[in-house]
Amino acid sequence: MSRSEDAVRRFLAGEDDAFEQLVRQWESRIYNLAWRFLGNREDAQDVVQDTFLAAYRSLRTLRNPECFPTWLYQIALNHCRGRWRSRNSLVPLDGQLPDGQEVAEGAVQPNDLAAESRDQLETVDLLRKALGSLSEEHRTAIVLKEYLGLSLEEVAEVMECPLSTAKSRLYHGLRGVQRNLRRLGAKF
Amino acid sequence: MRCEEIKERLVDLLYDEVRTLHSDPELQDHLSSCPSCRQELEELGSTRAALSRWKDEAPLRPVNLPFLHRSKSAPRWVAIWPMARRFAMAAAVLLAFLALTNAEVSWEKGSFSFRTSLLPAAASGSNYYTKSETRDLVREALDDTESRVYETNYLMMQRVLDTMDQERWSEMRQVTARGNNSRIKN
Repeated sequence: MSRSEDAVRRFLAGEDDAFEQLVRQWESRIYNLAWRFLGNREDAQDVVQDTFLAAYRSLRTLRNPECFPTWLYQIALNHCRGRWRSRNSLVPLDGQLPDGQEVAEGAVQPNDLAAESRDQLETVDLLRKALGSLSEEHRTAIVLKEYLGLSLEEVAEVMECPLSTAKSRLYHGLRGVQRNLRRLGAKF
Repeated sequence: MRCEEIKERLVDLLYDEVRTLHSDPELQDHLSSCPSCRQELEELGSTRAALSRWKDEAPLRPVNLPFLHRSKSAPRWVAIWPMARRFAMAAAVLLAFLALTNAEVSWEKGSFSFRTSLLPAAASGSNYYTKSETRDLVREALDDTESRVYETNYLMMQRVLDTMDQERWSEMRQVTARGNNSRIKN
């Protein structure tokens, strides 16, 4: 039995402290999922907060504690999509966010992260734009596979689609990132 | 094997979760002989390498859990409330059941007695009379009353006759006495 499964079972048995253990175990992964999906740290942090609040409210309806990771990813992705849509549509490649904010805002702040090199800042900005220009489905597949390290079957399970569809989304997502990076003049 | 078929399997090749390349010599042969497919696979691999340069970060701040702490410090009655609500529901269901089954609970001689029937209970003979029984009873009562009236009338008539008989005897005695007296005078 995994640590998460054990904590979920203890929470369902009435031990509220087990939920805090789940939060501390998963908040970093959920934050990084949202950070890659949205490309904005503050939004990602809000998504993490909303995700765990929603999880706390509905965890008692979870029938299979072993499915907790998939279930939590789905909640987080729903919140990511909602926040993404509220910020309008795709991030254009010309360096402007839909609401007119500078691309760098909410992404990587040199003052906040002094240790991060300029190259790294540029790399993250380029990747953020390249991912942000993909469709939600392609971006989700890339984030789940490349950044969360899920297996292809797990990606299909989280996205609630057949395995072949998950592979197709991943393939087209990678091709899309490749195309966007070229258009942005990235030299990787 | 055609290039189009290979493209469909590029993701399998790229992640190689089931060791696709090793388990499929035909695929391996095609890749070694087809520069286009090999180049596409390499480009996708480069894209993956580029994506991996976006490293994980720590969250800006820990998740705030006021809802969890609120439930911890909730007063005792808040914790009891769900149990009380369930108990009230169970009691309501039990009362409804008892009402529907015509249950009768009574306390007799230091113990409860419980009686129930799913259908409305038929009136028992000891407590209630049927219409025909009532009719018979009324008839008996009337008959009884009539016979009592007859009997009373008979007794009254008998007494009247007795009284008349006594009076006649009394008069006869008086007349007889009066005759004897006049004979003595004469």
